[in-house]
Amino acid sequence: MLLELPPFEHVDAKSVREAAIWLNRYGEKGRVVAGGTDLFSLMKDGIEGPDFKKPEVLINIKTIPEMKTIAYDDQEGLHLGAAVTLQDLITSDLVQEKYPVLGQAARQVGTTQIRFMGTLGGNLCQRPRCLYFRHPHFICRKKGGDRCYAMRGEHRHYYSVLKNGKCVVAHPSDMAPALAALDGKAIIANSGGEKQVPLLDLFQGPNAFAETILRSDEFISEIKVPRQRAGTYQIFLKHRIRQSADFALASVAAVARVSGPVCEEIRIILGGVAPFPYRALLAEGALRGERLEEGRISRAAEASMEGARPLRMNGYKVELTKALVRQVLGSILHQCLEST
Amino acid sequence: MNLGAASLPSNYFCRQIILHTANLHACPNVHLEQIGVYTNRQVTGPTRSPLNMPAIFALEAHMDRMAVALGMDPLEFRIKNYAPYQTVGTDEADDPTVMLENCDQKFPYSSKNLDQCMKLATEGIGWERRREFNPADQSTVKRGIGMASYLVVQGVGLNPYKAEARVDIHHDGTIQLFAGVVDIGGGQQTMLSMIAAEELGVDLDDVTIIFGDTKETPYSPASHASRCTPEMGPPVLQAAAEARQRLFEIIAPVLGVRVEDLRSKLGEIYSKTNPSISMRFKTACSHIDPQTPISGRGSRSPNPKEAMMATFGAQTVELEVDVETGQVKILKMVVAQDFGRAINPKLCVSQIYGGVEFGVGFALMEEGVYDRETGKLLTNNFHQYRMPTSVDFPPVESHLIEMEDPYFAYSAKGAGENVNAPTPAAIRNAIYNAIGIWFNDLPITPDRILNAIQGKKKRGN
Repeated sequence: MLLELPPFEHVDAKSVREAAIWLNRYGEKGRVVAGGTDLFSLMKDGIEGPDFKKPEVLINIKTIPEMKTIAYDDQEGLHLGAAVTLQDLITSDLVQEKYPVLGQAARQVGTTQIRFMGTLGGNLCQRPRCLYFRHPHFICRKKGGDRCYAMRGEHRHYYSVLKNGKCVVAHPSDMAPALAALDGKAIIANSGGEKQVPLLDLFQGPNAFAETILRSDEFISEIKVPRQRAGTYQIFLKHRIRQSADFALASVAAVARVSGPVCEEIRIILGGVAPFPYRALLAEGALRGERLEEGRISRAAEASMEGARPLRMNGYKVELTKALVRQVLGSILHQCLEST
Repeated sequence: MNLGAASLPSNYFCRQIILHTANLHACPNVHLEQIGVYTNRQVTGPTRSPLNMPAIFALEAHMDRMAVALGMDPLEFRIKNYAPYQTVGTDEADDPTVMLENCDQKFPYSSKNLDQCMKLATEGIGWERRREFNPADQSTVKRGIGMASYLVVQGVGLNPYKAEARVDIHHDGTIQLFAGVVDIGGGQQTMLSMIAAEELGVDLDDVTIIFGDTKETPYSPASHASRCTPEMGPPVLQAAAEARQRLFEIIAPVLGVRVEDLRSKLGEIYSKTNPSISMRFKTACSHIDPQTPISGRGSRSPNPKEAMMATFGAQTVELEVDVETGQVKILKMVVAQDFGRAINPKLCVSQIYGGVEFGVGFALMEEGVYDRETGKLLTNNFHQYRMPTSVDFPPVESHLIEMEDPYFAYSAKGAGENVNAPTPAAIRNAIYNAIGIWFNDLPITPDRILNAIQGKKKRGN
């Protein structure tokens, strides 16, 4: 609805430690800001909830040099500062060469303007696209209200078909499935130091108010992505209504090591269909150690949606996601056959 | 019509719906009714070309359905039912009883070249190929071609109707055109200046237009409903001609020729009987009294009774539908328009692009979503209300069919907002050609396509 942007204080942090101290000092009133592409629209829409108070102090982390760097070494793999923009990922030769799936996903986020402003960390921490959550007149469950309006109302596009709880929104991030498929880790900073969690552990279930485990004094400072071995194929596919500036109806990221073409290792992560980036373990299991061929790809696609409980109006997403999984696996097989 | 909780009268715009649908094709048995329904929604209004698109969508979608039921080609079906005349007059649509009494009357058009439009649009897309597409084949990406046509009545002027313009020529050679219409980005100021310059026989750069200024300009229609060219073209032309006549009257004695022998072209005033007698337009102006510039005035009355006035167009679409993901990809569109003569072809083609953009939006993505319980609009910003972006925009081939029409300035009819009207129907008809399913709800989003395919499978046909 875009009301007026409320007033706030703005401080530039010079280091991760300084940002953590500011955040610790202001507690719920403080918030880190990087691109601001989601945060400011949330503030303008007046979105508030038990875990998301209206911020009064914004701590700018774009002024922290190490949070804007992209680095690589053969031991530890890729280091991405959380304030690296999506455009940086798209134009980085290093990322393009070693982690193409990150560029594929980044390219499909928002618009050119958003990709220049929006950051990797911000993409992971963005709030859901539920039409009720984003509407100032509906105090839904996620905002501390007593009901989920979408469950019986409008839920065709940005809502879950898997792992639904008391809230039915789907996780909107495109970068999260890609990073999780690469087995990335998130470094979480707070005033006491930092900790590392596997990317999927950053997210929590549908009954929590917040989508991430971040406490009010914590923020993501860095993403680590392990070195990928030879013979690894990476694909990200996203389906949406409008071909720019739109969120996923469903997305699939897959990273597989294939030779022969036997699938030695694979991770398949689904976006836009569950409250968090969803790892399709059954689909992975159907492929691991097996020869990639059409029949097995179809069975894996079926398995990827095992346990789906769609809402009244979003059942189409089940077949849609299976089709995307088939397309992704088909591309991996195709690439593998071409390269041998 | 869903009017919302507090809205305009229920018959708002019924006139346009009836005019546009009753007159597009020849049919002696037309019964049209419009019912406005009050609901718990907020007040709404059209985003573009009030109700043309919804009216044409229903009609042109149904035309294809009838053609299929008859086993006829949709193009052939439209040509066979071509209407060279109007059956419902402009005034009559306001009064249903008059309309019923006169429904057998045939009013001729001032000009109509819709058949040419349909011919060019279908040739441009390769219409015959649509017969080769088979919705039942094994591929997951199906191809389809579809078409739709439309008309928009020109000269909507209701009382108090005024369309006036003035042209002043000054001693120093300054030419001022005063027109009340506002240039809302469609190039109205360029187009009107071009008409004045052409009539005066001077360069476009010599004309200064003053527009949208209530102090300086006479009364004009608003910039909507493609009105500016058809309704403001004639008064601008008349004002320019009158001002030029005044200038000729001053110059004739100086040159020693008769006023009626003078002509003006490319900045030069000359005698038609002896072209060697001439004078630069600018020099001629120096004979004008410095204190009293020459002034010419023009005006246009509401449409005359003897002829019906409308612009016409036809559009074709070639697209692909992915039956696994519900994705629609438009490969190409061909748009052929009878706007009369194009004063500025580039501006006319820009209007075509703009219309197609809105049409594609209506067809495939734009949707106002309301909460059923509260009636609140949920898609309350442009992130949720999806308008097409440059990546969603298809390649468009444009054709302008420029024929004579004596009722307008240089035969120029309106070329504005209504180009979006047939686009959704053309897309919908192409989707039928691709996958054999009719869609009657817009937008045709992936969820609707996948649900329809699923439903068709379940019914086993």
